[in-house]
Amino acid sequence: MKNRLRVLRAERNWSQAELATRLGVSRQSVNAIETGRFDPGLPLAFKLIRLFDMPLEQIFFDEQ
Amino acid sequence: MSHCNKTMTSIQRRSLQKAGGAMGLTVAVTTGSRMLAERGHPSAPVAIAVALISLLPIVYVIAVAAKYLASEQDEFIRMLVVRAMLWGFAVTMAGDAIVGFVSEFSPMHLPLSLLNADLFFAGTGIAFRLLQRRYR
Repeated sequence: MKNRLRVLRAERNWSQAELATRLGVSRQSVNAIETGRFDPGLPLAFKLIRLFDMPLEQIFFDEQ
Repeated sequence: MSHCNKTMTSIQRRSLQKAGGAMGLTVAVTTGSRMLAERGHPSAPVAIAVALISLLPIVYVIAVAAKYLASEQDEFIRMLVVRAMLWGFAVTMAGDAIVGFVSEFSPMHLPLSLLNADLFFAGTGIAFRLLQRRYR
């Protein structure tokens, strides 16, 4: 699954570490999600929705 | 269980300390039980009791790992730990297969099977570090 996390983070001038702190996860988690090597579960997805204040479909999208 | 102590959470640091303690305990218990078996010639019930004592560090470290996995809030790190543990099992089984073959078909005696738990801890630790490097 692809996502716009890197773009959304860059728009806010946040580093991976800063985003990780805001989400309460490790920086490696943010890196893995951004590079599409890890898809977060619902709890983390909801944290992202709240943090960026936008619906899930605007953060994650299906490759098809 | 992060890549360095500075980035470890308290639960990670505590779990790692407990796992380290279990490694030391494994060496002590396996060495002690081996010495007792070789020098003391224990009776069957005593031998079984000693064998059961050897289980304690393994049960302890599995409990530490289970508690850690239940407490870890970061689902990605949780996944990495589980994958690292699978590598730890793989390393242990590979080590056992080699030792089993050598012991069976040569006069050489390797006591490695007694240190299975330590092999597992070391394999898991190294695998975790390597897996983490991929997501730097």
